[in-house]
Amino acid sequence: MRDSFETIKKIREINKGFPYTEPVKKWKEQERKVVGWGCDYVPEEILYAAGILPFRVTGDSRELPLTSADAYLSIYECSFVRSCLQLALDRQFDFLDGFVACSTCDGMRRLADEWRITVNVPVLYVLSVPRKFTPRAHDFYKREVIKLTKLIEERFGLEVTDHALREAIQVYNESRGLLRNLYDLRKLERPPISGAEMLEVTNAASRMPRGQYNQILKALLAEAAMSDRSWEGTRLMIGGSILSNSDFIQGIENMGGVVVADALCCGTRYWGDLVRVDAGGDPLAAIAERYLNNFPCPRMFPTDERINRILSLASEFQVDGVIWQTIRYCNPMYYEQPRLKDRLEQRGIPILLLDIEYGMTATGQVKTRAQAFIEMLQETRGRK
Amino acid sequence: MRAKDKDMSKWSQVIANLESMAQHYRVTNREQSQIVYQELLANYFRRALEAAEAGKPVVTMATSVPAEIFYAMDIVPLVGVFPSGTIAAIHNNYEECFSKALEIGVPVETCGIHRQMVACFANGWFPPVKAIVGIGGGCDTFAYSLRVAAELYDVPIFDLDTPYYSDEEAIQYLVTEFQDLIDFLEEVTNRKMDWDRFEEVMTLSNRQLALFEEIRQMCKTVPCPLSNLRGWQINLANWYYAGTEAAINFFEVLLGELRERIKQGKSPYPEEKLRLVDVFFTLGSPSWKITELLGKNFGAVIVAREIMRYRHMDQWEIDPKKPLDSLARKWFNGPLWAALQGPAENWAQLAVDDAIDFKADGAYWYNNRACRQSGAVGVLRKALAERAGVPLLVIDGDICDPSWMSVDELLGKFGEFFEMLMERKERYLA
Repeated sequence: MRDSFETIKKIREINKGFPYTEPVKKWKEQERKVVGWGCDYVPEEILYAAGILPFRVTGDSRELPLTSADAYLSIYECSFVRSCLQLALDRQFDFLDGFVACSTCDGMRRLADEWRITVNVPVLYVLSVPRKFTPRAHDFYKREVIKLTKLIEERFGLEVTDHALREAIQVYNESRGLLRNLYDLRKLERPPISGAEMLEVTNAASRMPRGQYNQILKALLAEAAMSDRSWEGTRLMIGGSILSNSDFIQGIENMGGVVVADALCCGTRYWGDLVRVDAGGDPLAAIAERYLNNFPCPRMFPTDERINRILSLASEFQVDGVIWQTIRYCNPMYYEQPRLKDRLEQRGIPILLLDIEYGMTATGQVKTRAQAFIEMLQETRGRK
Repeated sequence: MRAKDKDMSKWSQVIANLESMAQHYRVTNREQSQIVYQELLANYFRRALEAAEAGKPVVTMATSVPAEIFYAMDIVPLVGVFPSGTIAAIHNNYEECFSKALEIGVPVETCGIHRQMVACFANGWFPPVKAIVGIGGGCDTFAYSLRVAAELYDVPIFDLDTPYYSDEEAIQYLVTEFQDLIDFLEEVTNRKMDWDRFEEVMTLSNRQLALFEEIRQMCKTVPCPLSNLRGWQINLANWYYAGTEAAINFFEVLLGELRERIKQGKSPYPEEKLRLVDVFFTLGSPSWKITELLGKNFGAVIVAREIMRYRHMDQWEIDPKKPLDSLARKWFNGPLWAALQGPAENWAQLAVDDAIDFKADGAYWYNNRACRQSGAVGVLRKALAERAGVPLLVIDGDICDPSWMSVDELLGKFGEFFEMLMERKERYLA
């Protein structure tokens, strides 16, 4: 059994307190604001620049009984949004000073609708996010980002200056660079960090102040550099719907796989691209450009950009196969599956499609299917 | 991922069935509006097949992509989910469709309307189409399912991008999207937009809108002159024949009949006992007869349909000289998207207004399996109860799959609700 990195242990401790983690508690003790965000298309830099702690609203990292949420959101909404509402109804998000949602999918829109009438944390804004990458879509989205910025300023009596935005860009880009360095370690034949550990690391990103997070990433990188720790097994990429439960990945890795890459909105898609701003450039415009152009969600059109990125990841990280987990009723993922499967198989990369509920672990049928998939990949690799 | 070879036998059989039903209505002296509607249905299939065979461009699109653009360009518009639902109903091959969808990777956890459509494309049951036009927003599955259809038929696709809010900025954004759509259609079909023709089409669209609204307003009359089934049919005609003489003719015929019924103080049913608001989709399954049975068996009349209406009629108008601007305003304030786009509160307010204005006793939501719009149930239930004093019945059903629930079971659920409504009404009157 490999000993965990000390830094990973610290990260686990932070995550254990979710949603009201120790760093968030300390932040609130200083009477500072915390605002929840619901989707990768909400630019955290805006909140950071206003002196607010951005906090990603998710369900817990486990399957929850959704008794209260099901009374408001139909079971045909995915269990991710129902889990978010459940925690909100259980008053676990009461430390938030507001919630920013997005129009990115029907589930997220409906979460905002029900949140408004049931939760005492106000919905500050639902960001209207275009589905395209055209110059007009960029102009539109930039105006939305400006509206959100003004709203934050007015609501909390704060100011978002260009200087603060530039600082925010620098701090968030630093995270992105550090995460890239960590991910690059997973390209090694025997990576020093597992997929389950990596998910814990990315989960922590939006549960603590960003400066502290960057220090943790640096410590982890230093620890990894000094260590001869390594993981080996069938190289897998994981993708699909949002995934917060590292035990799910752990379960897969216990069967002889090692998750070396991901195409998750809480993983690569979250930190993937940098905000690029010139010295004299408009920081808000740069932020807006990055968020709309970032590694796309399956909602975006045209779809080639996303599928090509997934294929590139598979090739860069030399994966043997892909595990694609879709939370029930996540329509954007369901309708992407046939085309993605087609493209991956054309490249000789097998894919396992799994239907899951948000927060679940790799048990029962999922475990059996994943086990069979990994064995099949091992056999294929053995033959090669 | 490609469709099987084209097989038009299912499509042709649908045409034959619809035409023979029209003939049956003619010889049995049914209401003229029923005959005209049946002819519209048959023609929708016939014209698409004939056009495809003659090499004229046919383009499949999502519901509520403005058909006016296509008519102005002499392209045959074909709303994808309508023919596939009809094919499944007429051939009674629901299971075959759902299995096919599953086979290509579209599972039961997505709406049956879209599963039927991708299955029909996968089986090659749609005529050859030049392109596909999807739409995001409102119900985002309309965007996703058509992407699969485009892949299956190996044709180009255009996705209309629609903002969440419906302010002036959003309207102008949609105007530019429409212009891009026209550019796309010109490229893939080699048809040029005829702007003079477009103006004529928009003039017809304006007339059609006025007639549609006149019919809707007539439903305030007690008893309501419009039958439950015809109330749904006007929506189909309104979407699929937007900006055409055919739709206007149907509406005028129907208006004549409704005026006569109002003059005589008649209901289409033996007695009007309860007035209902349908807040979501229609009762297409387990049988189209259901809505009529509500009227005949219970005296329950659907007086308003929330996702089928226009809103803010005093704040916008169609100006045929500005077709794209007019279409964008119509889109944001028109059927489906006036309710489904943007915050659910918009939708709730429409339902509240209608419940009051149309003197409704109750409202119902036929909650289609896997439909993620159902996340708004809580908002509508609360708004209707608090602001209109109207209870909302929510029934978990499936508008595409008759095996989900029997006619008797569904009528039983309605029956219990109606009993409660009648008790309330009697208490109130006492």
